[in-house]
Amino acid sequence: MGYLRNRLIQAIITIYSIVTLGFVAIQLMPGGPESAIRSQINSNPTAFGLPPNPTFEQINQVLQEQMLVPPDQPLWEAYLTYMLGALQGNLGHSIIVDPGASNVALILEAAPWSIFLASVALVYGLVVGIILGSLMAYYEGSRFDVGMTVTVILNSAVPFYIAAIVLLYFGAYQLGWFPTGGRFDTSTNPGFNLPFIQGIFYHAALPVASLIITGFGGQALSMRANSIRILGSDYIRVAELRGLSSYKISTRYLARNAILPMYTGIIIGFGGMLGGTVILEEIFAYPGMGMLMYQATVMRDFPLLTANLIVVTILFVIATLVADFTYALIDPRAEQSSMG
Amino acid sequence: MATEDTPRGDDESSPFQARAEYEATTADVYQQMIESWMIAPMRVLWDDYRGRIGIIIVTIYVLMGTVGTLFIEVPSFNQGPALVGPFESLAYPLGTTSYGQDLLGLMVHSTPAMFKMMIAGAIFGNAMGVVVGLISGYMGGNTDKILMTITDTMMSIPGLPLLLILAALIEPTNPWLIGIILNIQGWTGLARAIRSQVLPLRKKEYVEASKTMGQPTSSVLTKDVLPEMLPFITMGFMNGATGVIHASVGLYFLGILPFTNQNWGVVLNDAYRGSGALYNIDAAHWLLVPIVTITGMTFGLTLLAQAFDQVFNPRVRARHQARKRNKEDDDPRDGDDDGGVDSIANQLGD
Repeated sequence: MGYLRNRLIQAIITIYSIVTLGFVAIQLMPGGPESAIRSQINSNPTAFGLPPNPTFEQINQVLQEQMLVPPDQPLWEAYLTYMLGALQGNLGHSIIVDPGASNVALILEAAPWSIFLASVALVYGLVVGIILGSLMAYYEGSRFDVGMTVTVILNSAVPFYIAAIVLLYFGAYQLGWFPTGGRFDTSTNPGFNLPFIQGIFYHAALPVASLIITGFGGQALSMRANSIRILGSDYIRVAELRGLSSYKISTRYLARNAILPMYTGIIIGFGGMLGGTVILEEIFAYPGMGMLMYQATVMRDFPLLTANLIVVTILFVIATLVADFTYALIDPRAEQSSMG
Repeated sequence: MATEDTPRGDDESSPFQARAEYEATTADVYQQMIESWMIAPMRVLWDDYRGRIGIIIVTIYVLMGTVGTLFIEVPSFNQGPALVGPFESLAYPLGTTSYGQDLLGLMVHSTPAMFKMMIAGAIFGNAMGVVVGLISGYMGGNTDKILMTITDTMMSIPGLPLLLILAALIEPTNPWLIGIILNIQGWTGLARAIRSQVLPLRKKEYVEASKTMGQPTSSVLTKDVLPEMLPFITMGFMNGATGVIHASVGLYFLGILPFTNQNWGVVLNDAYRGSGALYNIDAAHWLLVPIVTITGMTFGLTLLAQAFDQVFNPRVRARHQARKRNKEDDDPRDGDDDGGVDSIANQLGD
């Protein structure tokens, strides 16, 4: 259990550091947190539930509520208050994007959509990448391998947002096959019914496709490299001598062992995708977590932005933990080695 | 240490006293170093089709960023008519934007800043990765634990959101600084990779030998361990550079980095947002030109990275050699056999 215990400790350290980083970022925000929020309240008092011309006391009172940390505290006390607040799931309030709204509520509303995009893309990309990579390795040097390698390199050289723009241009604007934005069909009624769910997939098709098209290349290449390394081993030759079909060898004998070193890469890929939704959702006008993050950055809504970073990191850490725990099941060696 | 005890006799027959007939001059040593570190890898790269294409592409971009900026004027608003199509006029070979800027000029003048970012980012990522990985793997113990905890923590923060916060906080305009910020997590993967390579290496005989001879740790690390890490370092450099391109164009496209530098992403942003290039087929080239430019650059780098795999992986190299030989032997079977006999016969006759 040492391995898993270490992973758990690592996860806690990560979350602790990111919350601390969030605190630092808010303290460092241009002009300091207090004056930034005060000016927001001044310029838009109704959004904070105040009359149009609030008195100084009223503003101060709202300021106290809005800021996680009372403005007159010394730094270390402010840090403690912030950390305690974060522990209770309170990451402050948005100041510009949706003034006065709770950050956590805003993010939790948007997060499932982004997770949906990323996980669908991850699963499809992985399946395609792994099968392709092991086949390429098995036929290494053949015309198939060379052709696919070039294709795949070309694919992975394309940043996903470029693919997204191209797909949007052709798929949505020029041909009109797919919607140009949004996350579900507004004419259907939200709930567990077929037209609504169809609409969700219909709207997710282009974003997911652009992640898959650019994502599977990297997977396939690393799969190919791992497989080539394994291809030299004796048990593969024995399997060949036993006359097993090449499909069986490439998927059962090669793939299983070649996937193991890729495992951490896959997890990091998931984190990258979650983070990458910032650009993706902006392009497709898909109101998920990334869109929220984009708005927060452009409008310099630091409390919302840091809250977003913290939530994304926590999601990522959870995904990593799940993967670590399952990895120990797949590969018993993980228990013994690493994290020395 | 050991040499002080050994008697320095004139006994020429002792194998330990053997000396080369010719003395290697400094020039010879350097020549050999250049031969094995520069020319031989370049030859392997050039022999590989991927390497050749990669070298050509990257060279084109380097020329674009150095010589190109001298010949092509700095783009400005209303420099020409708006939305000239590509390949229509010699003055604006790639067409113009709806602001009348020359697209070729925009592409060319974005390149130097891009290279600065790539170099800064890749060097920063590599240096951090190598130092952390080497020290962590070689020292072990608590040093290793602490360094790896930091590495894992850094690794677990999703990249783009972190970049957003940093970009919003710092608002960097200097390309060197931007490069470093963009690759701020780049060292983590490399550090892990290098650490896992160093772990088995530190028990190797030659490393033990250096240690027993009282070499300082720094020189053991740089002379014995580091050369083994070269493949990872090269790969790390390429990956770092590609990552910086993707991230910088992405952030410029989002409009989050301050628009003080020319960048392919800025052009993309203008085309996507400003002009309705998405609806307007006349403006399609405005979108297409930066896309092709970005893709071309990353494609070249990826190809190079792939080809470097050949340089460093002796197994891959050996297999390719063997296959080449096999092909030469097998293909024209009948004719070749005769030829072989002929040539041997000729040699015998001579």
